[in-house]
Amino acid sequence: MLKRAVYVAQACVLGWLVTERIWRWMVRVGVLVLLVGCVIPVAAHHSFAAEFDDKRPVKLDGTVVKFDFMNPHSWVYLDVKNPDGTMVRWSVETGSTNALFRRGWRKESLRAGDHITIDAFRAKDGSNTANASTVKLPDGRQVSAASSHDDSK
Amino acid sequence: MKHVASLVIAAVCASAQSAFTPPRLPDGHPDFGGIWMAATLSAAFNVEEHAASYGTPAGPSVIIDPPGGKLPYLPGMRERALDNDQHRERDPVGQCHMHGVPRVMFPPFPLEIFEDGENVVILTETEHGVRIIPTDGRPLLKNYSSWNGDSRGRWEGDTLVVEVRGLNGKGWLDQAGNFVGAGATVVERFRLTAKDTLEYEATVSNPAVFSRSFTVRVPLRRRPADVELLEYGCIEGERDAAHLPSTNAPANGERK
Amino acid sequence: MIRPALVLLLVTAAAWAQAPSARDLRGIWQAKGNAYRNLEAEKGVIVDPANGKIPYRAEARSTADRNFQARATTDPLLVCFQPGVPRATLLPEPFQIFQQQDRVVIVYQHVHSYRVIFTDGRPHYDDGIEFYMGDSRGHWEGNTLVVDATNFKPENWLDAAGHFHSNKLHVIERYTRDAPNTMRYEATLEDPEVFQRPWTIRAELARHTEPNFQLIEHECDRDAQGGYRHPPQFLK
Repeated sequence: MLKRAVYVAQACVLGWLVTERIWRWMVRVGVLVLLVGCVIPVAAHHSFAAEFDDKRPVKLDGTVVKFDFMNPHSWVYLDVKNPDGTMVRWSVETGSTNALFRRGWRKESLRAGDHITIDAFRAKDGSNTANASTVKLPDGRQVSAASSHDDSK
Repeated sequence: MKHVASLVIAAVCASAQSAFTPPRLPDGHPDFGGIWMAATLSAAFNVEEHAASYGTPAGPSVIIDPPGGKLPYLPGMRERALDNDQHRERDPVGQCHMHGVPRVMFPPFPLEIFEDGENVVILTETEHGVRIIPTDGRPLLKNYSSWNGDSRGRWEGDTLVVEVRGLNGKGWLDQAGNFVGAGATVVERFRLTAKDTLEYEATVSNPAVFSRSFTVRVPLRRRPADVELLEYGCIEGERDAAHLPSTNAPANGERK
Repeated sequence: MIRPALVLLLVTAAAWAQAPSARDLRGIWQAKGNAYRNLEAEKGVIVDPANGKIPYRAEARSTADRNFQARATTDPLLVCFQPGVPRATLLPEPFQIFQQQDRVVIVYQHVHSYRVIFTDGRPHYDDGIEFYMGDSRGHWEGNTLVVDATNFKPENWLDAAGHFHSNKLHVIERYTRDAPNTMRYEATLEDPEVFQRPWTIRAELARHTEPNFQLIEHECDRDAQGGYRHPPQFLK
């Protein structure tokens, strides 16, 4: 089990290092490339556990209101429809701009009106705030949010 | 005669393999220039050996002295670290403060090192942090209190030795709440052991917190040549603070 | 055999330590004057246009006026934003210039901000990312370092009076060391969303020659009430 995790981690690191070179070329030609899957433990500047609860996963299916591409975390503001039809505004944090940028994200990667689904973990304070794990884009691709978590668990 | 020849050949081969010859600057000192990042990302989470938990990968201890790899806390001090661990919202890095020494050398973000013969400069991506380390023999500042300290470098052969004073003790040592406390002094050693490996060691002393000094070792790996530091404006974008439990807690070393 | 080698070593060392050429901008510098307060109000700062006024578009001038009225509470510097370009150069705080083969690095004492100015001809980033301190590329024209800065975040100010820019800001700076301890600094700003035409400021920079002068840490501290302050680095 541990061995497998180590192999996966090694493959991820290698894959990331190789594709980083491709990304830099693609940046130069302005092509938007979003990497699927592999997540390196890219720690946040602070601990996930201080603010978010890994026992409270949430799936947010909604419409992007705003995408703030910034450090230390980018933020996706999402309007999500409740089962009863009411709308709730969620604030979802992702990894840092730098981590996202190195994975091919740009400030235009999410636009107002985009329909996306975010797998995330709720904030401990009960607010409609969450930490994103992965994002399913309008075209169906599932991408890493470069957040402060580790999928080799 | 044949035996002497093979002995000489063996000796030459052995010496060629054992010593890595670093690239050198015009002044003869090794060139550490480049973009680097900790080879052991887990040290940022906890410098001691630790199991995995959500948001934290498992990792070995990076403490090479004392043997056993545990921080030699004085009685009562480990309890403070454990209390920090239960209150990670107090981590000053979460408030966008510079990481302090040695923590600043091993976050999971790149850092840039360059030398110009009078200074060694370390730019960190995190908190757009800076360490300017004069190597011209000037004295340390007096009565200085800062997050990243006041540093002076000197060469011992091909090893850069850096004395760090003036740390304010408010910084943590890692995300798990370990700390070095006010009055800590650090001696760092930087040495290129291979083309892409910069060995980093830091010996920390603080008789108010530890029963003896301890040393961490975190090798730094060179990043690909086209990696550049990106600006990291933390305070400008900080929006988590409102969702953290109250951060109005005294800093380490100030609790009575 | 040894003697020529020794001579070669001494010559190399001397070359390394020789007096700086005109293209050597290394050292710790600081702007003279008070341009940092108000680019328009301080005499002689804006050299083009000749009337010394920022050529704002009409609606942008209203925004600048509103910023001015609210400057005591809304200046981004008050909440520890990095100062941006050219404001960082004009602050009453020192900055240190380092020069490497392929880059010039400027470290500003103010909130330890820094800029890496690549001089090896690599292109700017695409417009998909923005920085408070911009993205800088430099080259030499004679003894003048010309720096081209783009990719700015829109929320920053140009001085303490509320003069501002958008994320379309493009700054061209010119650093010329015209004497051992002084440098002429010029910056031409263009921003089609905010200004009708490009405009240029000029300032004089002086080298810090005090023995053992160094930048000290200027960190922004946040108190429990969420207020920011800049604590002193020296204990009593």
